[in-house]
Amino acid sequence: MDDSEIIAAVWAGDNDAFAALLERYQRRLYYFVVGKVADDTEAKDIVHKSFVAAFQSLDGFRLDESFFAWLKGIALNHCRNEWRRYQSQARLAGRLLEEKRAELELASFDARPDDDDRRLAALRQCMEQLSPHEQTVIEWRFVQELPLAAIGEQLGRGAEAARLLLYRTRQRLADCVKKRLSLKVP
Amino acid sequence: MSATNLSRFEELVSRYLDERLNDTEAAELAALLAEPALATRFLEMTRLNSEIAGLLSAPVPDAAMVELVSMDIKKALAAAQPSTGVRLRIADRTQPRPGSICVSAPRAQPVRQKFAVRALAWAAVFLVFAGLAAVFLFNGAQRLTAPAVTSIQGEARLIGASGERALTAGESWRRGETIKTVGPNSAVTVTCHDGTRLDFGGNTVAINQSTKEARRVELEHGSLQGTIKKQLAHRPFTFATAEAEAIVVGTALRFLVGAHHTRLEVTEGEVRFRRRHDGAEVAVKAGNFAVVAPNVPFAARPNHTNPHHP
Repeated sequence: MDDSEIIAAVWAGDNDAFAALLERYQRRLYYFVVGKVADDTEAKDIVHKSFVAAFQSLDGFRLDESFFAWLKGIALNHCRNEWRRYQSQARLAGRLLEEKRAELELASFDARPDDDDRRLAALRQCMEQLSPHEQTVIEWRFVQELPLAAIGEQLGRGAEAARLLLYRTRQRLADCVKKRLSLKVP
Repeated sequence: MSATNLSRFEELVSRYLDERLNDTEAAELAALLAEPALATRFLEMTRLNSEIAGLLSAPVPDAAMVELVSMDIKKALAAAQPSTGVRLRIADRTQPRPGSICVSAPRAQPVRQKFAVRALAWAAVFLVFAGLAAVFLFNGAQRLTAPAVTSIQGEARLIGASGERALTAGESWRRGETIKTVGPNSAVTVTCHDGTRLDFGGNTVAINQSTKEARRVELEHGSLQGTIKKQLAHRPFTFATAEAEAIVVGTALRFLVGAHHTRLEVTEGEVRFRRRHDGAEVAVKAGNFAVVAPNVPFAARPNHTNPHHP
């Protein structure tokens, strides 16, 4: 069944048919959202909220447009709202840097190129190219969420050395992603 | 901008990403962000950081997301449901239409009341017996019923006494049997008779170690996300790895196991998390996580991975 057939089924009263759209797009939507909010937990929440909102406003969907593009629009609004909420919280708490970050994020939304799929594919490839040592350190930090002191200890060095190593790895990844995107290879 | 200033900026960004920025440094970095080139670089690095975390995070299995969204949709539909149906029924009883049987036959009322009293008495007797039967059946089922595999995505295997074979939806996951998901995008959902639901992520190996008295799942590798219905206090649901045990009475959680660590994230309720080698225990509440790993403090911490919430 293609998207428009599923949507027509939902319109006809078969609410369960919506699950097929969810299975088809939830991961793609997650990867679309993940770089636009502060962390992956927030990204998962936004995916969840976007599907609920999409179901609730499905009557307004036009069958001649792409469902995923429409869904991305909904998710983007949720991302913006999340940053606005964060900005006002940071302002109230006097956290200037966080307020500035939210302001920059909000301002950058419209200027971002629509290249999320390629960007994440590039990042995945770049991460695979890291040395086993760097991959381990990344896993300690991002998966196990070990504090820098614990990573430093595992490395037989201090927390500052761990921080430097992590940042150098991030810089390498940023450069690698940029290079891959500039190659314009699909 | 001079090379010295640029290097200072990069250091501040690095400290920010790893949550090691003090208030003075935060103010210094905020001031530097007035320069557009630095603001762009800052966004590039924070975005990359979120993307790395996102790529490495265990994805929500499709079945779990379908369940979550379906629940919210049902709630929304129920809230949007006009209550006119109920109101109409009340109106039918209290304000009968002129000319209806109830109005034109006043003697019918006591007969109906008598019938209603008798019906209520029978209903009460029936409910008592049904309740008792349910208690017996429930207790029996709790001892005997194995969870059922309700959905499979990708490739999954079942390892039991008769060897290893492909797992199929609808079959039971019996005591002593192992479920194995093959590949990062595979997932399996099992549901217990009380509605408890476990979603196993990709590359996961889980063994059903339940006994007649208590449920227990050992996670050898991979991840599981679960919504656990309220259990009897003396019969908690236990999730175990080589290093740790999570003892659950009723909650929603995520449980991940790697080569040398076990991580528990609690999204609802509270879980007792026990380190097996020394028996140390922490209570992990909703919105918190704890990790059992060498050289990691064993404590519950807020569940976020970003420098957003220092």
